[in-house]
Amino acid sequence: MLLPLSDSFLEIWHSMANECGLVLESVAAEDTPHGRRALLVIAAGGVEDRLAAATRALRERTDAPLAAVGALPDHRVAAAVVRAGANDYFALPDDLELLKSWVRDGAERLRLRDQGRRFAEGEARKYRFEGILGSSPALEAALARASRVIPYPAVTVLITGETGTGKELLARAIHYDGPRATGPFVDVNCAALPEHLLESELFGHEKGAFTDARAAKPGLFEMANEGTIFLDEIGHLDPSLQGKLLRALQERTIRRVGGTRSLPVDVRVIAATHVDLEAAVRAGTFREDLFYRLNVMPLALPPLRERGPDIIPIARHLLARFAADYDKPVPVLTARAERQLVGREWPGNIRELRNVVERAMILCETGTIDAADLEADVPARRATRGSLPFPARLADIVTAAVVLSLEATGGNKSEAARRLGITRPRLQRLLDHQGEDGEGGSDE
Amino acid sequence: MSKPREGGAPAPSLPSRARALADAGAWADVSALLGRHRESIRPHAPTATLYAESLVRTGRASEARTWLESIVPAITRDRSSLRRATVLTGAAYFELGDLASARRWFHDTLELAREDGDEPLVARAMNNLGAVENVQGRRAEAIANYQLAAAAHQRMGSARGLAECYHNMAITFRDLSQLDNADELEQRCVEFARDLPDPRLVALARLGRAEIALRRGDAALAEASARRVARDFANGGDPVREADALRLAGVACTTLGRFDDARQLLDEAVDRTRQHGALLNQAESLRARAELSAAVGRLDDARTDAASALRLFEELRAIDDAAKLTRWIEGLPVE
Repeated sequence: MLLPLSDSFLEIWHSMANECGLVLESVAAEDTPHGRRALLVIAAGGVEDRLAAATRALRERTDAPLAAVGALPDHRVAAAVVRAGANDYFALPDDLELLKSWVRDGAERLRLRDQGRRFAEGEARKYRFEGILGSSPALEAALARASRVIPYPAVTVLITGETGTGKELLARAIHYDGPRATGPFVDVNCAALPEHLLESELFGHEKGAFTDARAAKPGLFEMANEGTIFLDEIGHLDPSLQGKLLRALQERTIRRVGGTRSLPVDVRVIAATHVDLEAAVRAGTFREDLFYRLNVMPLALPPLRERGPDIIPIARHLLARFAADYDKPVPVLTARAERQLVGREWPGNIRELRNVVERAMILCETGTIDAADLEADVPARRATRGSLPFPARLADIVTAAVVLSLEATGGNKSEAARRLGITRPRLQRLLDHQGEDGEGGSDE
Repeated sequence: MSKPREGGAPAPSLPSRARALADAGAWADVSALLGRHRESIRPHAPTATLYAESLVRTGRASEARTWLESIVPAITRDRSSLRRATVLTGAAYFELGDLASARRWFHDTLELAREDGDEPLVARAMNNLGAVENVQGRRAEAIANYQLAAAAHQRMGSARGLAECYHNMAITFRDLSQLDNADELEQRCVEFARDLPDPRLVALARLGRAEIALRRGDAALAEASARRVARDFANGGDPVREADALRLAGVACTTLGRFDDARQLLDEAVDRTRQHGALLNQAESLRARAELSAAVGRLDDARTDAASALRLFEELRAIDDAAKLTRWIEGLPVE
């Protein structure tokens, strides 16, 4: 939007707006610019003495980004208009490129705002609550409970369930179906980072808080402001961090590492775990007060083996989806294949079912998927289901054991090595050399 | 000496012409055009920065670094150009393999971007910092940066940023042997990339998944996926990545004991990468062919290919790969 106070520079505004993909609209001094989806420019070549008053009047009616433009490269004019509420002052023609840069940046910010809104709408369609497949009583009970929490954006939710049961999917559905849908959904895998990094990751840090802290950095809680933070694998949280999370939940404020100020955060916390937290509390590895604070609305997702009637509909849904993804006709599941799917244990739950169906789709050349197509002789995959391949090459067994331990410890090599009874360097060698660590395989 | 005027255009049509070429992706032309006016554009921050970008994008990292170091101190008022020049300096150092300097410049970028509320650049700087940490083998730090970058992309609703970030994070998890996490992230990348739509990024993530399948020991799935991805890259006119997919399919065939198929695929991958001067891909294809030759007892061929791959790894300063390959060559049986 352009408020021209004189007829100087009139020739440049159209081309500048065009270059930046903006629509140019002229307004009069007494108009109230509507909405925030605008950049305002007050142009006053030759009448710079009127700029400050016009800026002040406009600023009272809008908080949109505002630039004042004149012909005088004078610090006093610049200071006066900035004091009156302009974001910047440009003296043409010298500052023409700077002004273009300001308009381009502003246009980009407007574009980002639109992009954010469209993205949230798209995600909301993708993660519709009704889109969660299944009609088994156990799932329906969990979903009914979840639907009660959706309208209350401050209520903390704890989702429990085995790996692959869809905890993150449910968390996203709660977020995108609720009043925070236009805010960010920030997901954090608490098991992926060591404690010292996770603290700074979650709560941010101030400049100089530690050797590497060259600049202040907001953490994920701040980035999730007005949205949802999804803390996956909360059961892996170190005890010292549990205390800090508890404070964040109780006081709705966080303190950056090395900081002294408490910063308010408006965030819904959804935590998830496959660990039995009550048992962890009894064992003294998880704080009881944090458990009760998280357990405000517990939602337990059932394992796939307890959702027998859901397996085939989910498999068919996945087949149709993958057929579209891979540009193939939807294959038919034979009766034997269906019996096999229903009869399996599915320790990896829906994630495992999805992988098995996708694999069968990729390898399928006949348009029919039979029981044999749903099998895969995969050492490492079997390992992640909790058993080691046998009989097999020793190196395969070793690789599988290493992968299994790393998955179980969330990638913590020291802990994985401790569980395997070897040193960390040896674990690294086994990883580097696919189960072989040279003659003797010394631990020393 | 008078202070350079950052905003004054030296020749009215030059910045617009250069910007139009840049918008069309003609970076070599941008570089040629602005290179002829180096001295006149030097005090003109937006155009000087655009020239630096053209140098980075056309692989002239050393020239870009020298140029940027000469212009950055003079940029004071034009914060937009300063931010871009700062991240480009980091990128130039990264390309040159000076990771400590790259890291420092990306941190500076992050600070500037935060001060100015430039969220896309915040996300980009964190993603770049993740890449630096990953190359330095500091995987946890890499993931920490990628997670923050993903959160920033999520705030902005940038599907492309998220897709690229998830792909990078997947590579780090793959290097950590956390294959389930890696696969999950590649799948997310595919979902976002398909919605964009960006077929090249979809294919990249699927190639990542094929690699994960191979590491899990599912060579049949890896082969089928990699062959499919090779076709996608061929259709998209990307012969270097097509060759990379062929290499992976070849390795999968070697694992499955289908040595003739493997030989055919790997020969094609080596030829294709040689033809297009993609040195790292060529080295990886040669190494894969050396492993195939060793598996079928053609030890002389194995040594020849391995030695060629080793030379390329050394030339590219891929120290880890060179060290591992040296050990592998030493472990070959003596005839």
